[in-house]
Amino acid sequence: MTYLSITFYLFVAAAALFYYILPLKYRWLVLLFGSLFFYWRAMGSGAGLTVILVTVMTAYGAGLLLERRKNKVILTGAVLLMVLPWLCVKNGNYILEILLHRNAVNWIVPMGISFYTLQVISYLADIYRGRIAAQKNPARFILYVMFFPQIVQGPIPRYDRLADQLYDGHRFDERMVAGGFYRILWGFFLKLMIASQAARFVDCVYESYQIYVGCYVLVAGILYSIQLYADFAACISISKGVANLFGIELADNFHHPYLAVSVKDFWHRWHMSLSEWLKDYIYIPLGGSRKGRVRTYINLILTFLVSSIWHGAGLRFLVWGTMHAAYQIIGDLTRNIQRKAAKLLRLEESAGATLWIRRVWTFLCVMAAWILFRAESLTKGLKMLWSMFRVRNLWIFTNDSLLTMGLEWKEWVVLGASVLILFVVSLKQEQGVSFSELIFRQPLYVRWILYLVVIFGIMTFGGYGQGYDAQAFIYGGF
Amino acid sequence: MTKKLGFAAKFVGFLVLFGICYYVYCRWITPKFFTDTDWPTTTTFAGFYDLEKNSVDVLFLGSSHGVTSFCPQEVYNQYGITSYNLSSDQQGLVTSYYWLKEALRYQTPKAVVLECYFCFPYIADEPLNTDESYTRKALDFMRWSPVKAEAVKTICEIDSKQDAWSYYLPHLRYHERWLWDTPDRNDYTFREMAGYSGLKGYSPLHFYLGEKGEGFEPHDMAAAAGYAEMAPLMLEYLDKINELCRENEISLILTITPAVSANIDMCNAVQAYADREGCTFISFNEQNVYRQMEYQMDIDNCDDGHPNIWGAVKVSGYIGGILSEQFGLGGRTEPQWEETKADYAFTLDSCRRWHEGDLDPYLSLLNHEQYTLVITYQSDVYNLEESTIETLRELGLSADLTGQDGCNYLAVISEGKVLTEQLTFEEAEYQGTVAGGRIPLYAHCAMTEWGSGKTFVSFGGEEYDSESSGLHVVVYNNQKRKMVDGRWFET
Repeated sequence: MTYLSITFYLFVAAAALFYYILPLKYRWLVLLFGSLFFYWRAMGSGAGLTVILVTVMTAYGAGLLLERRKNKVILTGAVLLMVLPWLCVKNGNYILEILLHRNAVNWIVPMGISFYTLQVISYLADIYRGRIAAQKNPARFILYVMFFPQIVQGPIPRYDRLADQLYDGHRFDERMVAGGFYRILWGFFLKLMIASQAARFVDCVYESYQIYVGCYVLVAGILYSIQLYADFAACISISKGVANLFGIELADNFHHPYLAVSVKDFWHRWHMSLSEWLKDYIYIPLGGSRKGRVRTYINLILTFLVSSIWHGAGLRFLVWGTMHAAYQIIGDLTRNIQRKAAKLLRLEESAGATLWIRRVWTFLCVMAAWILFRAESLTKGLKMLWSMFRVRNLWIFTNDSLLTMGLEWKEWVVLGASVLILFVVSLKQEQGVSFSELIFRQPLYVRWILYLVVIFGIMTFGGYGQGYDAQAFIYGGF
Repeated sequence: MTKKLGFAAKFVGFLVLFGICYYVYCRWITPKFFTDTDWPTTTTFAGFYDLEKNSVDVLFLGSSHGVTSFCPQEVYNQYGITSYNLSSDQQGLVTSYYWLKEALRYQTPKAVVLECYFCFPYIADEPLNTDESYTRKALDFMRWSPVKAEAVKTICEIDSKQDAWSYYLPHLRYHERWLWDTPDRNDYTFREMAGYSGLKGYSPLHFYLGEKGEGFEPHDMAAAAGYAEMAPLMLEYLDKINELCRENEISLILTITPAVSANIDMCNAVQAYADREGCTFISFNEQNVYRQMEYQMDIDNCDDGHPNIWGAVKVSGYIGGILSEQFGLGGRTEPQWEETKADYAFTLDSCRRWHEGDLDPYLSLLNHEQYTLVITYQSDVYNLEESTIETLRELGLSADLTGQDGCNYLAVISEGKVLTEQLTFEEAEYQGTVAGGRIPLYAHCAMTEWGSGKTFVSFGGEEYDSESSGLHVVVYNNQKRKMVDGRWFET
């Protein structure tokens, strides 16, 4: 059972029905049992469920203990206990195979381990800091960690923002439910019309990176940047949409990241729940920007290194994180030069042209880092990146070379049109337009026609079925 | 509560609307294989449901070998036996079993004739011994019932690559139809095409095998003792078909139809099975049967595996004789088979047309209402033979084509009616529609400036274009909505 499967939506429909039938105070039980059922079905065995339940119950116990004694040793011990399974599962084999040259271990990998590990760490840290009270009811705590719309890829929640929403039964709110439906549709659009389609070209280039060099890498880099965003945003949109069906609002995770005007701005818009987590539990505890410029830069590098390790084991992730830290440090160091250059070129800070130059530049910087991020190894990634500057093969844009790589011309048209829709919607939302409000205000028949057009459009032109791997989300693998 | 009920009503309303749209959408995107293709599987299976209940005495099942070998109309014409051919290309025994099960919900046949070529490994690395697309072709137009649900479940259990959901929700399988290079024709409504062929599941082929078949030696079963091994899954389902026939008191007749590719070891294996289970087995490659049918592999087979229509006439005649003499079937007069006699005669003529090179017999084969004919004639000297002019008259044409040197002649005949007949020194031209007004027709004939004739015909985009003086005949099949022939005869 995945967020894109038919069985998932049958399950959601059944859960929603039970949720609104039961009295308010028992509604959280539907979410609890639904979450346990979903986890068990999605994992396909009880082993993963057992691992997560052990972790959750350990965190529950540690939380109660921390509430009684706000002791740094207890906190450190509890955090290490939380991190240990994640470390084994996500980095164990890299350490064994690459560093120790030993055989890999077939770990049980609980779904969403990277996400719920951060979730429980923030819970424990917040109790230690006295920001929240520990949850006394273990069943309720299980629901907080395992709430099924968010367990796969987040957004990484904070206890104080989510817990009460889960435990207080919600009355039926048509606007909220309709909003959830739009979000689910939007998620399917992002995943099937953009991410799945772009993946075919990207995979083709990365599988034969020795052949596809120069401009092919540039196109793959652009498409991978779009694919990664569309894929992750799709999962989040579906998660938020499903949560909305139960009257629950999950945290935002994206705010049009490719409209960012600097890399710093990008991290305020990309995977916001992770960025905030890193800021609150790594960057600020390290001293943040309070201890001088050098310490600030060191703290920034350390924070991005943690982010790199969280994303996966391997040098390419470390270099990816370091690149992002370096972008920000260089950006900060060259701020005066940038201002002077802008003045020299008569570019006003708030002018549209300046804004777009900065957006494009930021996108290119982020894209270069994504090229390494997607590669199988750092060496391969660097070779691809280098070929972009070394090889001049602009002719690929004028002949049919791009049409022989997983996507034929009709699919390019669909992908291009879909990306254009995403771009226009993002721009409008950036300007404050709420599409869900706009749609909800329309007469019923207009809404129904719109739903049908969107549903059948996605059904027809979406990339799924034979030859696609649309069931998996990229960030689910982190 | 009122809010909830209001929402529930809207929700149900939307679901109903969505359901209707989805049904129409799936009917549209599911590939259909009508009589404009060589393997009209959809026509076969949809046509089966059009039969009156309990009107079929014999069912034919099997793969493409079965589709092209057993012609129910021929069996009926010769012996008065009502039969239907539920075979389809690459139809494995799993699918045949479920089609038999489905057929028994509607019919009570006395005999089932099973073509056994697919008992043996065909695509060894495919769990079902056949490609997924062929299993879909055979099952997509089976009506939903517990039988189909069981078939889908079984197929997906055997072949893990297949997804049961895609049978229930066909868009999962066919949503990419818009990408296909040669999209199947969707301009027919489903019901219109279902009964078009009138061939009761039989698919006619018209080519000759030729040289490859000349050296074919029919099998001497007594001389060989090799046994080919059946594919385990196929054997399992052969057993199931056998059991199902027994339960329903149906005689099971196993066959291997005439094929260069069917070797004697295969025939021995099926014979051994038939002996063990008490079934009848007919190998059409066996020397006695082969000679009794007066079969000639080079001209009665289309390729090394499939009989052409003249081969099918012989095979169907032979099996009809067995069904009549040994199983006591036949002697019936059944309107559903009487009605399709003309369709079958038309099919025979259209197959003969492919091989007919002489003008007069060629023209006489075109005297069918299913055709639209465009005939043009341009020549310095009008010297058509009297017999040709007579044949043109039989088609309904009346212009006097003697001594009209240098004229342009254009005639259009559709569904037996003459739409235009022009004999003029000017350019001759016709614009209209055929096939029930659906297909635009444009025909034009004139002399070029250097004195040769020029003929241009377009049937909804399908074109015939020639710059040769003489008689041109362009043939359009109104049912298949296809230009089926364009000939030039020098006169």
